[in-house]
Amino acid sequence: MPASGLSWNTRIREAFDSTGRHIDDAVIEELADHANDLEADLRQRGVEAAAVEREIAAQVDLWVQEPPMHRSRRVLDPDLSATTLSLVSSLASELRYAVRALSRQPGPFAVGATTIALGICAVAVMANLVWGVLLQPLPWPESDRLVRIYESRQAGSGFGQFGGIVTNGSYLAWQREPATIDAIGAWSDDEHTLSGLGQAERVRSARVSPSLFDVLRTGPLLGRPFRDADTPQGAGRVVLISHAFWTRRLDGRRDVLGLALRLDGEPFTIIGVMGTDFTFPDRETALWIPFHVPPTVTPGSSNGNIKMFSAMARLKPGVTAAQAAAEATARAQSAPHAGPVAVAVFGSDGPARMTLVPALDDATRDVRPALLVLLAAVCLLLAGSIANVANVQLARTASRRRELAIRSALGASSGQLARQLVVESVVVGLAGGLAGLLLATVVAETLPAWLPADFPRVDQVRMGWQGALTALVAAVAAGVGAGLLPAWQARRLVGSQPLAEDGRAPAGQGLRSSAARARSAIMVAQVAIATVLLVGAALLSQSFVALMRADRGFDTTRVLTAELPLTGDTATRRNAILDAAIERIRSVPGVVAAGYTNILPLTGSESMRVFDMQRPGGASVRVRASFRVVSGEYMSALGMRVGHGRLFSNTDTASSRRVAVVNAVFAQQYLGDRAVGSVLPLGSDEQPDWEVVGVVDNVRSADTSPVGPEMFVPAAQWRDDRPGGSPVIALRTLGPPTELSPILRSIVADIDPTLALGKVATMEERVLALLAKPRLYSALLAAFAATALAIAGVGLFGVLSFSVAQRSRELAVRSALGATPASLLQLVLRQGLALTSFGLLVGMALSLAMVESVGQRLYGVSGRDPVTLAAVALFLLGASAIACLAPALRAAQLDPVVVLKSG
Amino acid sequence: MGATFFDRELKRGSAEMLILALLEEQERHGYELARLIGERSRGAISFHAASLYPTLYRLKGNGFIDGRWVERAGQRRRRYYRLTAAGRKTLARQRGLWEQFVNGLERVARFRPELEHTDP
Repeated sequence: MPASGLSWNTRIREAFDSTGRHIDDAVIEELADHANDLEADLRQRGVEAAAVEREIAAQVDLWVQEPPMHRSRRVLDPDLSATTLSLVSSLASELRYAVRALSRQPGPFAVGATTIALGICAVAVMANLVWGVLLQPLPWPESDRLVRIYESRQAGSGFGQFGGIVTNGSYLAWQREPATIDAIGAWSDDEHTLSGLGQAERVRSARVSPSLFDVLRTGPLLGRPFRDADTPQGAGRVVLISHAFWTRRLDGRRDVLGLALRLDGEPFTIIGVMGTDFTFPDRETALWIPFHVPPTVTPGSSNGNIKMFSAMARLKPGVTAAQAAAEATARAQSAPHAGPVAVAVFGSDGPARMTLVPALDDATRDVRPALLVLLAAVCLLLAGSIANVANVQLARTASRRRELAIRSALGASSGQLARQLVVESVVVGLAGGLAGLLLATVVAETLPAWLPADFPRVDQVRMGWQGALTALVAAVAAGVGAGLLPAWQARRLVGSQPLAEDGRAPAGQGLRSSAARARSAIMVAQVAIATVLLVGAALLSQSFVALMRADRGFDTTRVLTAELPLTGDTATRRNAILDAAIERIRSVPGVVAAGYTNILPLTGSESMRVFDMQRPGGASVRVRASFRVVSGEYMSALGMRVGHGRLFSNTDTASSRRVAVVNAVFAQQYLGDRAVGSVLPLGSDEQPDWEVVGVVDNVRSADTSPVGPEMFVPAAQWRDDRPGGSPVIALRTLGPPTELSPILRSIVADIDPTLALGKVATMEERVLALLAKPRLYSALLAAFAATALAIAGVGLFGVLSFSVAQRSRELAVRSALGATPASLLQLVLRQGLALTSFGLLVGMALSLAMVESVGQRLYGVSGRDPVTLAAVALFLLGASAIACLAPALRAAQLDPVVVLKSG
Repeated sequence: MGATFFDRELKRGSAEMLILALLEEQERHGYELARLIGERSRGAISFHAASLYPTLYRLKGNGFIDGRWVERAGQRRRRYYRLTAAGRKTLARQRGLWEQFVNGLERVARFRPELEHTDP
């Protein structure tokens, strides 16, 4: 019996009824039997009641969604009206005729279908991506009520923020009897060394509050979720494992509950296995450990205890994010004051402000603008390919004037002829659409592998009905769109005199007829589209190259970096292990310099320190700066540059004078001109004064964000406490750095076999990973632009070829009257280039108008960069000259005698 | 969709044969069929119970299997399915086709699935 008290029979009946489908009683009874059996089975295997309920409810949902087998088959309505029948039969005959007509001229048909296929493929893939990433609800029940919480502090007229975090004071203040939310949950990312299951490995984990499962409204597949009594310390340590981890490392054994895992050497008891769709906070996370948000004031201690973590809440039904944010802000402002720590974190200790962002927007906000721009780009691409088909159809209509006139004379109405032409182009559209859809499914299958690892929700992007439907609609629309103009043209033809003519245009009409003007207009539009996409692609790739080459304040070439997590060790022991490792690494041939740091640039981690300092003038200033604890040779290993003074050396030891190095921003902001020799009151050590011995060039810690003040101290001298961050070794090599990674691993294993290196990567690899998204966007846009250019080129070739064929008599007359081949060549080339130039101008104007929307995403290049625009123009003119060449040569080689005789 | 489409057709064909084969042994009810398929393939074929019943009704509609309600003392009544003569013939033919397919796979891809025989 389900927990709701209703029998499965009733529940299944209601589920089907709610969809408006009538199902046989016997079928309902049979499905209810199945549900009861499944329930008994799961209970017997020890699955918790709530999980059983969920599993069966999911099963019932699947039954309800299953296509028609449960209902009686629909019988075709025999009273199909006569008009419908005749329409169907006439449509069928038109379809047959269209296929025959198209198969007589397979060339243009194939070109048209191919261009449509390319356009549809691009649209379907992008539409699918936009659906899967931006629109599809998150995989939690009523996920539209989930909000991510951000905390900031008022600082002057603005707000100081630090990453996407919340502090424990604000969190706990809101958690106590909130009026606007159902639940609030907290989590933070973590990593552990897993041992005892074969080879030791680093695994991604998350510390999550028990309440997070209430927020997400989910629970484990097997076992139980966290309870408030579960603590991360002591003998009762527990862990939940991911479905992937369960199958990969534990062979999906049913008896894993109660088993102990060794994480960083400590035993944790497995209390549950999460379902396959639980990928929180990301799909790499393999383990979850309970997390309790501690109070800001520890009883019996005067020190404040500030914790930072991520948080999410579930709004009560009907409550808006703004209402909840107002309550959260009011509560946070009543929380105990965080004091100077708030300055370190937020850069200000002003009043707190809480911001709530819908969880879906939050997960996708950094890819949303790019995806929408790319979607717009593929729509342009599709428009270009539709224009191409329209153009081909227009040309075919013109050359089929006689055929159409004969059919009209035989009694076909102009409407019928027009419909015939639309049906023809719809056939082209559908053929292209089908091919495009097939292509798109292949692309969509491989897409996740192409996307950067941190691209949100990649695992939820599957080629589904949304993509297929978009493709189908686009294909029909493309066909109709491409057929309308020729159809309109055909109606004008009927009743005129084409029957009396020979199917070729009289001299001069090849250019001046309304059909020719329509073709030219379409051609201009195609070139304009190609121009817009080319300009976009050129700007994005330049921006990407500029990002690649940007001066990051150090030399990224030939540097190998390796994370060496040392949790639970004292500072002395940590330094001993690291110093031993560095000593061994330095003796490896090919290593130029080696050192370690607590925070490596470009990794996104950060450690801040705040202290008050007397300025030379006597005024006190509050310093807030990034803090790096580095070994003697680290700065030379990274290739950092000294502006004034010196870097650390081996003479800076535990017993020598305390020294520090600052970056240029620090010197400028806090020390003025004579930075070297200044004294920083760092630490509560017996020697509080640290002398600045050098100023280094600014090193970018993230990519495009501005550089803040930064200070460095030697690891040999910093013994106070944990410096924040986690140790990373960096070494500069003579040869390719990756060759040294096995040696590095063996050195570490040799020092202590229980140690495992974390991520090992060259600095260049780290830069590339950071730029994966800009690289992807510029590559995609370049591919779209290339396709648009190819389509425009094919179109231009087609239009000019057709024009030359139509004007053959005019050209022959010119030739007979003494025009040289060179002048005929020029004539056709001029016609083509005139079209291109006009399209180019329109495209440039559009690009300049649109650049505002992407301008702020560019780096190191202006959206109106004249060199880029000129290069695109030249490139396009060159490409169109190539497309014009063949028709122009044909015009030049016309034999006037043959042409005029054949007339 | 390419791979999934193929997968679906293959699974659909194999699902029918699996059901017929299981019913060849004895009469069974729906839940038992779902459980046996999962167990005997050691989870490799987790063809979803959602498509089980449509498949059963299709097989019944084609006259390959027969269903009847059986009431036992102290239990819910259940629908049991059994193989018809036509179903037996179809099963034999499908087995032949699958054998050809598997032999073909072996010749081309040097692939030999580990088949576990269930006694008829």
